[in-house]
Amino acid sequence: MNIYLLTRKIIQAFALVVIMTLIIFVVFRLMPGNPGLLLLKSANKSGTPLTAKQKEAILSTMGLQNGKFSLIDFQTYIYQMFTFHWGKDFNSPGQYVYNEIANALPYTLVLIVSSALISFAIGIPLGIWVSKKRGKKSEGIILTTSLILNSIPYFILGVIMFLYLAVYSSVLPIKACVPLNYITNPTLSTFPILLYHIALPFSTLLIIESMGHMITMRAAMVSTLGEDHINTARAKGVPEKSILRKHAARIAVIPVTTRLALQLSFLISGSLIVAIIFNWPGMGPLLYHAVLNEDYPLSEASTFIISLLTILAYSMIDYIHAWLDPRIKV
Amino acid sequence: MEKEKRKGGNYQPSVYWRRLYRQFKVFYKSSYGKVGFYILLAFAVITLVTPFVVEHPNYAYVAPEVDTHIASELKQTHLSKIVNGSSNAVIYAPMSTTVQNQGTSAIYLGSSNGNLYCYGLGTSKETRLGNYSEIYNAHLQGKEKMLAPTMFSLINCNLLSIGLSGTNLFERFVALPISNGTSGRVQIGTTSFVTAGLSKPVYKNFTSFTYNGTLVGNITSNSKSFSGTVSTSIPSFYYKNAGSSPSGQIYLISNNSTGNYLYRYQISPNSMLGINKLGIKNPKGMEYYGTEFSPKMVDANARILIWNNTSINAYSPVNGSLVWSLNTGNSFDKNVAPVIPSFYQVQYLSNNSAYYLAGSAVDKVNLNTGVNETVGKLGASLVGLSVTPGHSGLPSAIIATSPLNSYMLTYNLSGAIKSRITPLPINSGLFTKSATYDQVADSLILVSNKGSIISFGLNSGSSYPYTWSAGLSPVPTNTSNVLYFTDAATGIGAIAITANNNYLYIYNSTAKGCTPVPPMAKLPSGSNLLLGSTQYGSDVWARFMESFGNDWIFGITIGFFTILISLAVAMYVGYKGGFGGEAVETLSLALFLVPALALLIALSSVINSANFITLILIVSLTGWPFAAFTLIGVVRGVSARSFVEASRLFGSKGGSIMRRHIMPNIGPLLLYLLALSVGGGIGAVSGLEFLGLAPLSTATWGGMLNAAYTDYFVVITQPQWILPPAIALTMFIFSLIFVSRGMDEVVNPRLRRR
Repeated sequence: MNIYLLTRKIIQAFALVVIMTLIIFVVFRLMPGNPGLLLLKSANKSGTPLTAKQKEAILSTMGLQNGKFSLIDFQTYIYQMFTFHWGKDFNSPGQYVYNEIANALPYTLVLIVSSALISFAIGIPLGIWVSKKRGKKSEGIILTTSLILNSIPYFILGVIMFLYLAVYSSVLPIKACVPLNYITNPTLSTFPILLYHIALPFSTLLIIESMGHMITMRAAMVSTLGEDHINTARAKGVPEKSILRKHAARIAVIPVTTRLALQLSFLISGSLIVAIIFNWPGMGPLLYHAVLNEDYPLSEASTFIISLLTILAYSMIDYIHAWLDPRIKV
Repeated sequence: MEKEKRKGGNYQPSVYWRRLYRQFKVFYKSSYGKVGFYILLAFAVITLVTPFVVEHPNYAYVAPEVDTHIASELKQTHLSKIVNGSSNAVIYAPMSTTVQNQGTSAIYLGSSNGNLYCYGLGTSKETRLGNYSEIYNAHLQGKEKMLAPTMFSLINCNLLSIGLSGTNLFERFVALPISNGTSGRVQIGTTSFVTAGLSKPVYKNFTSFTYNGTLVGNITSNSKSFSGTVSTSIPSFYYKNAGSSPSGQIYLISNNSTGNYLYRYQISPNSMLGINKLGIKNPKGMEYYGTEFSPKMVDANARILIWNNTSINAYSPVNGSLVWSLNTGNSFDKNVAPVIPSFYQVQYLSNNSAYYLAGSAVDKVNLNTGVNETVGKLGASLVGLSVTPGHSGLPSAIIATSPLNSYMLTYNLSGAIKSRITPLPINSGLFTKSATYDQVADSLILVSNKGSIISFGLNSGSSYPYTWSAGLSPVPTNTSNVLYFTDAATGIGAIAITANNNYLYIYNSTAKGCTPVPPMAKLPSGSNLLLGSTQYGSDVWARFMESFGNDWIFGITIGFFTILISLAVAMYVGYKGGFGGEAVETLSLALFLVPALALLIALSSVINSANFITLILIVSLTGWPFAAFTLIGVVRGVSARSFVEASRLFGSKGGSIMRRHIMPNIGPLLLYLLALSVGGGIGAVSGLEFLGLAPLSTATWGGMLNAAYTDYFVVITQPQWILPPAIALTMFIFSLIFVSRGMDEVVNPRLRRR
């Protein structure tokens, strides 16, 4: 444990969160319309007209009493965001945004964490294996396939998999939906059901992500294998297997962790769109429908939570990465 | 020093070009680069030839609507049970008068063998779509034959006043003329649903009267309803209010050896108001004008129009006397009835007119005075005439048809008339029947004797006024008038037609659910749809081809914007550094870490309300940090090199160092990042369009793939909608990635092939 590194990473994460909060504040206030006035309009429609005091109260709880961009609004916004007091959903009255996000977040987390870890576990051995094939004919085919698979947009691969596996052959379910407690309290009997339902969104993410890891790992392996210490090891007569595993792969894995950190934002974006395509009830559909329904509190809070999650994960991976690689200076 | 500088300055481009050429050679050696380069070249060539391979450049790459907007057929039934046993039984035009939506859960059909049927449109067991059952049998004897019945909406006012419930809900009257050759009787009864649309309606005999001679034309009534937009006023609503004022009247013309007679009969209390001998010879038809002029019985301004070969005559419904007579001469087309815009039935205005065909011209006659006027001379012999309801005075459009063309006459603000000629579909038959007005779609629906249906859009600004068309199949040789009604089950507008092949056809009146045209379809207009059409009627092939150009534009503009922003940031952070640099770097990291899709979805409301420039800007503004990070590292590396330091010592300014020392060193890297950003930009835009969050009006592959997201199950049957754009988009993106791999080999010599 390097305490200086840790402190630095924490300070960086804090700065990132502050800037991210600012970005979301600005972006959501760039959207046309005023959610406060919208709510007042619907409140006026439904019953007795509101008094000026009630209107003021509603606007101040939403942080909108002085137009969209004002300091007092920013304070309210910061308070609401960081204390998770996001208020009520506009479109399904009585629903707290907090509960809705709490219900959707596990679905997204299980998708992201499993695909990130398993793509890592698949991509790295594949990369090592492909690096052994350098110069052979099969290398070109494998590399081209992996490049194509890695460059397909998430939604195209998702649609193709959906059509082939769920619609034409109905091997996998059309609507990927399991009860929440299957994820929070998995048992031996519910786990296969979870696997069956998560298979499509998960494998879409997995294919694209593991191919990316494989390409990075292979490139890193190739450049590491050309270095002097490998030649030395070869000259010493170290077996090839051992050179690959112990001498080269350990160094080559570091760029892959860097990539994992940088790729995280793409992976989370991908998980959102994949969840929308496959009706996986995670944050993606929640945000999508919230924006379509002009549900400001819900969309603002879900963007905030997704970004917060990304920054936390990024900082963690970054810290682990710096800790693993001693060359990275504090 | 200065001299040398200028010399160097002149020499510079050549060095750049030589270096670029060398780098291109390295790039070309890489097989990825080569493949990517050729695929991109192929895409560029396809983009350039697009205008020559797409068929309809005049329609902005959208296939002509008349070919592709085919209304979905709700039902097509051969009425075998009705004609069973008597092969020459005739089924008359479908009837149903729109009083309430629920009231139209059945269409009524009369047949010449004396029966009245209801044809279900509802959802319940007895009135389900396609069920038809007999509700009245006239028990014809001897030579008796039922003629075309007339239905009119006389809602039972007593029931209306107690709140539209109970039995006999949605009652209407039907007049069934039964002829025995030399004389006949008119059976008048009511049909009603016992409960609204839940069971089949019940027919009850009300009254009857006899007439002497043969019936001319159809029976008409002063309570004839029409499908206007006056939903609150129910024709003859006031008449039946208790016994204080008498109920509606019906009129018929009968012809016998002594002459022609106009019969005026009152339903409730039933009495024959009068039988008037007509002064004219050979009457052809009759039309009532002024059904809703006043809440009293018959308004003094109301008229009964009766026409024959050479004249149009107006009679008073009050006493049956002639009010005016217009000699139209031989050019008058007696087979085409004069048309009265239906809103003229609502309110008396001194210039209300009826329109009629006179040879190759459309004329109008003032209904109050009988003074005629030519509206437009069209120069072709006309066979059909229709007008719009005329909501505010003059009808907005008058449509006359010749065997080949349709002529749309419109009044402009100053009252002058303007005509527009549109060819009718080839071999569509003669459009002689007056059109029905669809108030939902604001269109006139015409049907020809060969069963071709055309919806004439009245507010469409496009060059092609037909919003949809359909052809009845099997093709009849004659059809009835079109009945417009609102389908009770779905709430949508629909039309019903019977044809002389004993089929009843029911169509959706707005072609919302179009049937996609299959691939390789040869259309009546002579154009080919290589990949068929979508359910919105756009040509898939044309849309696909046009997407090439659009996606290039999107990709390249987004790529350039992204590179410009990231270059500026990288130069500032990498070269200048300092606290500002740190701050900008953290900012870009934060922007990078907020998932781009979440931001894009959130910003999509801005995009949707604006144009494509906003979309391009937004995608570039959210997508630059990735390229910036790569550049920052390289710029930092280059600016730490000794030649930069040397240049700085010689007094070079920041701008000159960046331009002369840093830029040449990051040139290939910039191209590499540009290729990646172009691919990423197209991916992001397509993703947004796929989700339907960006405007879909411009043809792009992402927009085409949107069909797969919005309606999977249509796409299953139509793979040609999504396979071409999916393949093209993937090819385009991975060719860019291949190019970037090739560029990578230029940047990283170690990657080059040994």
